[in-house]
Amino acid sequence: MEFAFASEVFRSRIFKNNLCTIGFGIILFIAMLGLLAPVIADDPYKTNLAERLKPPSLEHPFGTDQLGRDLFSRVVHGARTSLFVAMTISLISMAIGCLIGAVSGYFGGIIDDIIGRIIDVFLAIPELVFNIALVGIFCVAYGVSTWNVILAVVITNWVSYARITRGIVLSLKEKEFVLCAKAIGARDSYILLRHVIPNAIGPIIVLATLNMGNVIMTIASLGFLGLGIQPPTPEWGQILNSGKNYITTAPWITFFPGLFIALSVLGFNLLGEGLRDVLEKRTLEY
Amino acid sequence: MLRYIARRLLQIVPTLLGISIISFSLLYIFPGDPAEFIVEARYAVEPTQEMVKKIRMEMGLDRPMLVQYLDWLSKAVRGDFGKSWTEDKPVMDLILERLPASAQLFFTTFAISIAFAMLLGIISAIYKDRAVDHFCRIFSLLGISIPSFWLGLILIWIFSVQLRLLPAFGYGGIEHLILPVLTWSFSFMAIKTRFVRSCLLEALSQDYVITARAKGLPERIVVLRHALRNALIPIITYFSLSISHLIVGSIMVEVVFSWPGLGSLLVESVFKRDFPVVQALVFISGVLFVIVNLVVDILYAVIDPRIRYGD
Amino acid sequence: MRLTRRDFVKFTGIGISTFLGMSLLGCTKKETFKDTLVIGYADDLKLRGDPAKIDRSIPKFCVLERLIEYDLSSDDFVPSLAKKWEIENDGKRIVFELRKGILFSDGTEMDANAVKFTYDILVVRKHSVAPKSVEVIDDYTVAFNFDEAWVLNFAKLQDVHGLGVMSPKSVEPEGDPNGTLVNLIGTGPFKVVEYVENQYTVLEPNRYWFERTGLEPKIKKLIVKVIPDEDTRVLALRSGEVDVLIDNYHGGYDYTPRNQLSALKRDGFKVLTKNIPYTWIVAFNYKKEPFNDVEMRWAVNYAINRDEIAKIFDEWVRPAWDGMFPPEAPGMAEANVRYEYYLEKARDIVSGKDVGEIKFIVDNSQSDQVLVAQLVQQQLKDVGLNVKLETLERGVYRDRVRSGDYDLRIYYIGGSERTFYMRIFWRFLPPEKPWKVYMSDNVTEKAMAVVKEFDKTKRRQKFVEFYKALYEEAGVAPLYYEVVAVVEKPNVEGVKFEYSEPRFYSAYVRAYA
Repeated sequence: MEFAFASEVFRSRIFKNNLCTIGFGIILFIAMLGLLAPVIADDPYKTNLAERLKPPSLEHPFGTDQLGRDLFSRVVHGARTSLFVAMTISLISMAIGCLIGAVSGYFGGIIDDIIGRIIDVFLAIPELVFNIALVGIFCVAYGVSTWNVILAVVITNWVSYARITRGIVLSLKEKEFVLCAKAIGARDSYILLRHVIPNAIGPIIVLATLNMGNVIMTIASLGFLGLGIQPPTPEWGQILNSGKNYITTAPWITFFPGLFIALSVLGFNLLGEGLRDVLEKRTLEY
Repeated sequence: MLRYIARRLLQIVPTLLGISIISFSLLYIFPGDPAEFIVEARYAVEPTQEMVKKIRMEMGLDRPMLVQYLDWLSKAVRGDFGKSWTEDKPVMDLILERLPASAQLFFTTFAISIAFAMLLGIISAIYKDRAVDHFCRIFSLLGISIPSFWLGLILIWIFSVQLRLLPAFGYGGIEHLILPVLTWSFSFMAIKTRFVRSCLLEALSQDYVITARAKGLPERIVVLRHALRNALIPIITYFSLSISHLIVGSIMVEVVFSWPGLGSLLVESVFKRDFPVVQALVFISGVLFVIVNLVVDILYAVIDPRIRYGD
Repeated sequence: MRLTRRDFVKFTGIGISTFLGMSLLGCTKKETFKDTLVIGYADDLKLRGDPAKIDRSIPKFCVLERLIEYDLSSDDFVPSLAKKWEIENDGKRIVFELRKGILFSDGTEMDANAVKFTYDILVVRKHSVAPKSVEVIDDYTVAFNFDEAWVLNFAKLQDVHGLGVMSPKSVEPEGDPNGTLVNLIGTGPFKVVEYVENQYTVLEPNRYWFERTGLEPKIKKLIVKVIPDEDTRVLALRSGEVDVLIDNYHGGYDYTPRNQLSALKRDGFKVLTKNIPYTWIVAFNYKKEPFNDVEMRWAVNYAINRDEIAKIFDEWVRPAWDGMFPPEAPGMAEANVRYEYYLEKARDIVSGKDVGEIKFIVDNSQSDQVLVAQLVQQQLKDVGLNVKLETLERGVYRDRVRSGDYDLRIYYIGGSERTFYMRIFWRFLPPEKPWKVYMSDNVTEKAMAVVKEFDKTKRRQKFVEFYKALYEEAGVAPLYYEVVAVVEKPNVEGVKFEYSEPRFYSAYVRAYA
C-alpha cells in the first residue's frame, strides 16, 4: 500500500512531534480521569449541606459546590459527559459529512452543484448562532435532553467534513490511479472504498481531532448559556454557569471546570496541529 | 470586470435562497401551533380559541406554507421581519436598538486585534522556530482553547471584584469597554496571528524573497518590503472577512458582560421564545457573511486581475 | 393648605426631629448627601405600549396608588385613595367614595373618571383581576360590579397583577382604555421623567404627593437601571454602579440570589428582608399513581429535611415546618399543623409500596429552585424513592405541567401580602388549570368558605379549617417560606418595606467623606 497510514516510520514521526505528544498526553490524561471516574471519584450527586462551599482541601481537592457536592467528582464525571457527547457528535457528523462530501465530489454534475450550494449555505450561517437557535427551538419542541444538543450540533457540524471530503475527492478523481481503476471498469463503490477513502483519511483525521476541540467548546458554551446538558448531570459548562453566582465567595466552582474545558480543547488543538505538521511533511515528501 | 461581478452575483443567489429557506423553516420545525405560542408569549394567558384564530389571521398563518415563505422573503429583503412575539414592536427595531453596542464592541476588538496580530505574526515569522515564535504559537493556541466566558469571568474576578478597577458589566463609557474587548481580543487575535504568520512564511519561501536575500538585503527589509507586501493581500482579505462577525460573533462575551448587543439579544430571544427575532438574526448573519465574502472577492479581483480570468 | 390633625402631628414630629437633627449636626461633622439614588432591577419597567403590562414593582408602588391596600397583620383591607366604601348586592357591588383633592403628578385632580378609566383597561382585556364593570356615580363616587359575591373582589382591586389609578392622559388617545401608554401619570411619591426601554428610567419626586403627606423628599432623582442578569446586578452593586438592588415583586426569579445575601452582608452591604406569606413547595401530580395515594404524599413530607434546604440559602429563609404558610398568615398559627422530618416513617411507607421511577420536574430559569430540586431529589432517594430529576426549559416545563406528564414538581403557594387571597383562588379553587396545586372535595369546599366570608373573625376560623383539611390530605409538601429582599450600599438610608414592597420616598444616600 503506497499510502500506508499506520506504518512504523509514520507512527514514530507522530510521537517525535512535540505538539502531538503533549496534545495526546493531555487528552489521554482527561480521558483516563473520565474512564476511571467511578473508581477515583465519589458520587457526583451526593449532597452534604454541612460541607457546602468549602475551598479546595485534601479531602475535596477542587472544593465543594453550593450543595456540598465534591467538585472533583463532578468535574471528573463531567469529563465523561463532555467526551462522550463530543465523540458521539464527531462520529455522527463525520459519517454523514464524509458520505455526503464523497458522493458529491465523486459523482459531480448536478448532485455536486446542489450539495455544494447546501454546504455554502451552512458555512455562511455562524455555527454558534445556528446552534443556539436550533437548541432553543428543539427545547421548545421536544424538551431539553442530551440528544437535542447532539442533534443540534450535528446539524451544523457535518458541513466541515463534507467540504473537506468533497475537496479531496475532487482532486483525487483526476489522479492517475483513479483514472486507471475507472478505465479497467472498477465499480464506483469499489473505487470510493479502495482508493478515495484511504487517501482522504489523513486530512479527515486532522479535521476530526481539531473538530473534537471545537465541539467540546460548543457543548460547554451551550451549557454555560443554560441551553446544554441540564443538571443534575454534571457537565463543565453548566457547572461553570452555576458557579458564576459564587464568583466572589467560591471562585473554585468556576475555576476548575473552566480549566478542564481549556485543557481538553487545547489537547485536541495541539494534537490536531501536530498531526497536520506530520501529514504536511508527508505530502511534501511524496 | 463587470462580467466577473455579474457571475459572482449570480453565484450567491442560490446560497442566499438557501439561507432564507433555513431561517424561515426554523419557525416551522417545531410541532404545535405558532399562533398559540404567540398568544401565550404576548398576553401571558392561556390561549382561547378565538384569540388563536385572530392571531392566525393577523399573522397570515392560515395560508399555504409556500405563500407564507414568499411573503416572508419579500418582506425580509426589505428589512421587515414582522413583529416580535413578546414585545409590541417590529423585530427590526429590536435589532437596530442593539446594533450600536455590538458595533462598538466589534470594531474596537477588531482594531486592537489586527494591530497585535500583525505585530505578533511578523515577529513570529521573522524568528521562526525561535523562542519568540514558540511563545506566539502557544499564545495563539491558548487563545483558541480558553473559553471566552471563563476568561471573562476570571478577568471580572481580578479587575472588578478584587482590584475594583473596572466595571464588571454594562454599556456606557470607555471603562465598560475594556474587559469585554480584552476578553474577545484574546481569541480573535489568536486566530489572526496564526494566519499572518503562515501567510508571511509562505511569502518568505517564494522566489523573489530568495532573490532579495541573495542580493544581500538585510532580513528586516526582506520581510517588511518584499514578503509582507505580497502577503498583505490574503491577510487583508482574511481580516475583512471577519466583519461578518459583527452581527453575532461575540455571543459568549456579550452574555458574560451583559453587553446589550445582538449576541445577548439572540440568547434572550431564545429564552423568551421570541422566534421571529432568532429567525431574523440567523438570516441576517448568514446574508452578511455572503455579502462580505462577495465584496471581498470583487475587491480582490480588482486588485489582482489574474483571478478574473482565472476560471 | 388645610391641616388635618394627622398632618399636624406629622408636621410637629418632623419639626421636632429636624430640630434634634440640627442640634446633633451642630456637634458632629456636617454631612453631605447625594441627590440621586440608583436602583438595580431585573426587568424593564414597560412604561410604553400596553398600559396593563407595566411592571409590577416601581411603576405600581412608586408611581401609582390604589383605592385600597391589604394589611396582612390585621387581615384588613384598608383605605388608600378611597376614603370608605359600601358593600351592596351581597358583595357583588362595591361603591367607593374617593378622597378629595388628590392630585396627579401633572397637577390634575384624581377623580371617579380616572378610576373608571384605569379599571376599564383591565375590563376590556378581560384581565384575571378585572371587575365586571365600573360606573361613575359622581366625581368622587365610583361603583364596581363583580360576577361573584366574595371577598376576592377586594383582593382583586389591590392585587399586584392589577393596576393603580392612572391619569387618562397617560395613554394615547387620551382616556381610551385600549390606548397606548405614553407617559405613566399617577398620584404616588414619584413621577416618571425619562424612560429608555430596556435601559433605565428616571423618576423625580411628585411634589403633590409630598405636599399631601407633609414629607420632604431627600433625593432629587431616583434612577432604575435594568440589569437582567442576577450576577451582573450583584456585581453592579459591588462596583458601586447602583446603590440598591430590589427583588422582583415576589421571589423565585429576578431577585438577588438568596445564596449571595450572606456574602454581601459580610462585605458591609445592608440586607433588608421582609417575610411574605409565600411558600415554596413540592407539588404532587395527585391525580395519578403514585401520588394519588395520601400515604405516598406523607412519605415525601416525612423525607424532606427542610433545615437543609434553608441552609442552601444561608438561612435567609425559614424552613417550612409550622404549616403550609408562615405563621403570620391569617389563622396559620391557630391551625397548629406541623410537618416532621421522619426518615423511618417515610422508608416504612415507601418499602410497603411498589413504586416505579418518579418524574420530578423543575423550571431551569429558576436557578435557586434547580438547587433545591437537586437536594430534594437526594433526600427522596435516601428513603428509597427512585427519583429522576428533569431540569426543563420554562415553556417545556409548562407544557409538561399542562399535560400532566410529571409526578412531582417545585412550585409555590401564596405570594406577596397583596396577592395572598388571589393565590388561594389560583391554587386551590376550580376551574381546573395548570397552576392549581391541590383540589379535593373537602379542601376546595374549605377554601371556598374562606373566600366567601366577608367577616374577618369568621374568616379566620375558616382559614384554620382550610389549613387542616389541606394538611390532613398532605396536599402539598412545603419546603421554605420566601422573603423579599433589598440589598443596599452602607451609605443608603431610609429605604423601608410597606406591605411587601420596598419604598423610597424617605430614602437618601450619604456622600462618603
